Amino acid sequence: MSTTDTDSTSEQNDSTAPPRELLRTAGLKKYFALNDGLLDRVFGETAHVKAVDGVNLTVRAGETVGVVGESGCGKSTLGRTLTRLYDPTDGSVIFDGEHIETYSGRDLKALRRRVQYVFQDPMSALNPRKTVGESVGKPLEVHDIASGTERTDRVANLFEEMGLMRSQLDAYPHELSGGQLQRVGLARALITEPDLVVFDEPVSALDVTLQAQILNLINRLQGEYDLSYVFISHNLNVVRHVCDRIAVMYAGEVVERGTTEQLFENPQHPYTRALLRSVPSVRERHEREREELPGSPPSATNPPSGCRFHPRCPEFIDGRCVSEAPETRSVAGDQGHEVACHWAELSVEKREAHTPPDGAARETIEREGASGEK
Amino acid sequence: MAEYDGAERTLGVRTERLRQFRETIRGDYRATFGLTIVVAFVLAAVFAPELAPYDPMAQDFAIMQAPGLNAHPFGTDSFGRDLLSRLMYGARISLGVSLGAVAIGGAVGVTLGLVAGYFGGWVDDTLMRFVDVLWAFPWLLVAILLVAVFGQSVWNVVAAIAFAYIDDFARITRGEVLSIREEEFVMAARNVGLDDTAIMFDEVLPNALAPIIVQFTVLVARAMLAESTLSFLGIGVKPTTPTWGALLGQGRGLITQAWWISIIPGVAIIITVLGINLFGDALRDALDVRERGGSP
Amino acid sequence: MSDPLLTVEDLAVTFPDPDGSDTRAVDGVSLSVEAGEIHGLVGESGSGKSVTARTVLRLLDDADVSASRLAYRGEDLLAKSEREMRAVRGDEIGMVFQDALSALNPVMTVGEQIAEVVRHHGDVDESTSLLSELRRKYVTGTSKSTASWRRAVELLETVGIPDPEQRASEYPHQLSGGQRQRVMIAQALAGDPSLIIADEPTTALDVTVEAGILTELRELCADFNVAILLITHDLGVVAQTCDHVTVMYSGSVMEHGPTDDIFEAPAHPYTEGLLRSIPEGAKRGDELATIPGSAPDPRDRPAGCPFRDRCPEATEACTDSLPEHALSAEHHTYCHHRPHEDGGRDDVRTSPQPER
Repeated sequence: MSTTDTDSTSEQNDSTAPPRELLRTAGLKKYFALNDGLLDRVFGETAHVKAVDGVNLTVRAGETVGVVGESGCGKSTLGRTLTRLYDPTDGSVIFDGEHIETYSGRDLKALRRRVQYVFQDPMSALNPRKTVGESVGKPLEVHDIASGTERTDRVANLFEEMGLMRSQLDAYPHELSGGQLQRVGLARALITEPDLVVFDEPVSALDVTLQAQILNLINRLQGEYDLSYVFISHNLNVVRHVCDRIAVMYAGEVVERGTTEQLFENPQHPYTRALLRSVPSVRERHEREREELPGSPPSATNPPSGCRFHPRCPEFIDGRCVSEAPETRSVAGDQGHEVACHWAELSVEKREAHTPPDGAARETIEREGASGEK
Repeated sequence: MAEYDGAERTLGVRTERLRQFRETIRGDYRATFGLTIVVAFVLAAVFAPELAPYDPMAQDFAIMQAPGLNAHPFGTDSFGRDLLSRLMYGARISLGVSLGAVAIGGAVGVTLGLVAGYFGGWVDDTLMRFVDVLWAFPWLLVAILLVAVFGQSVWNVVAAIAFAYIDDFARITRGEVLSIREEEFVMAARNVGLDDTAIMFDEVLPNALAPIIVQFTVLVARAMLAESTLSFLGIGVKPTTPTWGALLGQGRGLITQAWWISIIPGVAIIITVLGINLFGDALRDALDVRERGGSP
Repeated sequence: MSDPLLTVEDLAVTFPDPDGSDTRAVDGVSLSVEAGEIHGLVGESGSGKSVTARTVLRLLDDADVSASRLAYRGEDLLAKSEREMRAVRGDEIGMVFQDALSALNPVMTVGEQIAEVVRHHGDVDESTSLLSELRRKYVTGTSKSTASWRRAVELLETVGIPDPEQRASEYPHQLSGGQRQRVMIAQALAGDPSLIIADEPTTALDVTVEAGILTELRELCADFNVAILLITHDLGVVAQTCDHVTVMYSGSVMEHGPTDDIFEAPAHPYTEGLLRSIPEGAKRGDELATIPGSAPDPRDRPAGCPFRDRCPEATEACTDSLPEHALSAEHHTYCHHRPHEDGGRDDVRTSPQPER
């Protein structure tokens, strides 16, 4: 995937002054070494899991950017890398005009005050031996923001704002329910009044009624605290409700991005369309069959050649899909909508009408494509 | 840190926790029983000069190897010395050496294991290979070396035994830390802005304490016997100084003629170890907040 | 349909607690599953849906179970001995768990695990000597040819695993999450059961894979005339898969009926609230409808309707009983206020609910 500045077009065309750009990643990569033994490190050639492999993402002040994809596509790793919980392998992260990918020590600590990450499972993200009040008050101590009675008051006030009770300050994590714990998680993230909050599947462990409560709370807080969000989720119904813009990830790369409307109304990438077709629907349960996307996500150690989606692609066309990695291109007539597919120029109807080569024919193409690459 | 304490108190957390902790400890018969034993023995050791009925060195050849009498409740040894007095004086060395050695070995070992497990990678490799070397090095040799260089003293005994237990603590701690550092709350602590030292000692270590406490109680018992081994080999404390291990060793050959000389110090060791074990178990449970009530 | 395949009437399950605060996990649940249907059992976590299912198989040893009727094909399951129950499990009622990776044996090939159930079921002739089996394994290296193994491969094909011959000799960790779930289904089918209890079979899977598994379950239901009791918290799963739905809340049934009735004309305030909470179709920034509060503690559950503390329509009457009302032959609800006296449903409860 190219690392060119892909958002400039949309910004130039905004008639009103565009909101300030808060975060931008360029060609962000995070690889994990696979072999960890001593001998492997000394002699072996280390294999890498390419969890995030060249991602460009922009978050403007006050907006919510969604990151969606199947499990293992690298969306959580992306969230953790851009908040510097992981050190990036390559590429840059610019937060509020500063390169933060090289931050360490005091700079990094100061950054933690402004950038927060909310974990999927609040139970495991809280120290089981500390009361939730201690955990939420900790950032105030670490950053020397408040102490003594003032700290207690701030924590207690935020608890009340989150819909928790003051008496629950002294509770241990195992004494609270899932919904309450997620509120504690939100409180801990917001206590330092950050600018950017990254949510990693914040509601997927919750029941639907609690899910709605937490989503409403997240939406309300955004206005009250003037927050920008990155919202990582596999649940497209939730993402649609929460996000202004969405990036679709597959095998460590962003394959399509655009506004929520663009993605849901006019999906361009075959993978995005497959995702949308698989979403369960209560309202349209008779009108629309859910469809499975056959196969499983590829190995992140050794991703497929060319377009990484080609082995599962229902619209697979020819050798180019196998041999050449598609560049990210703008979708004609759809401002700010970008897709990484060779066949983006073909209309969706034509692509869908095209019968993908099957069985032996497809294998031949894949073999030739793979050899042509060398 | 003073500021920290103040804030915690206003949050009502620390005091509340201490209260809960005390309550749990108090309600636990193991803690009461164990602590009573340990405290009683420690008091007996500290106040041995005041409490002991006889001078532990005073020999009375009229009553050698006498069984329990009114004047000598635990009998006398083969030199006619009062066994109760020797036991009380012996507690000073035995308890001091074993608790001290295990505490020192534990502090070093736990720190090594914590740092190795937390950082992983080459830090882990380096530290753990160092621990392997410690483990491979016979501690008796270390003891002999220390005595040869610095002469016989209690401190050398403590050092040699502490040295022998570093690797136990290091390995156990590292194993625990390896699994705890993968927990999300560790990453959450980083997210909050804590540095590595604070995360290690404040977040990881408290969650790794349970097996370390168990190990501590087990090793205290072993340390008492190790001290007697050193005394037996003549590289421990001075041979005339009474220690429980030494008393046990002296009586061993006389078990058929005067069983009390070896059995009584043996029972003292067993009771102490039992007391420490009980207290350790209670402590471990009291430290585990999840064990205390509350809805799931 | 004369007699239902599975009948549960007035089931109560209590987990005794030595400290005196017993947990009433299930309280007066009635349920019936017809042969060949997919019956959804929906509820939030802690609603007692899994406990209900496990009680049917008598898998809970430490629980006090009482029921006026717990019958499978007219036979009383509570009266059966443990030995008779073992015959029921597997042969009559199969089970599919949420977490296939921990439910499958990690050191046994998946084919062998299925073949084991086939052999246990006991209608295949298996007379391979140990010697020839060893020769096959270490000398000739040919694939297994015992009847149970062939049946296992066949079953894997049935549940839609590509290249079943090859997959059968692989270990659970070598398969993807979706394939493992299919292996579990194949294993449940191996005993040739009439009912499969599937406990959150797709919760751990991606939506892209989930759709395939649910389609598979529907096809099995039609092809083999197997009934499925599908336990889930996900209304989307129920909506497109089930014929009948039973909605549980805090240990009690709130409503049951045909899927269309439940989704198009929900009768219980809880079901209405549940359906409204789904963010489907909600636009950016819309306030989602919520049910304020949270479920009661199962150790201290109030008498009467367990939902009354969160219900906007609760009255004094709700504190003492939970009456059943039939809206049609199949659609029943447990509520004092339904159906409305005027016959209409006021599903436009527009008053904004305080968010908590």
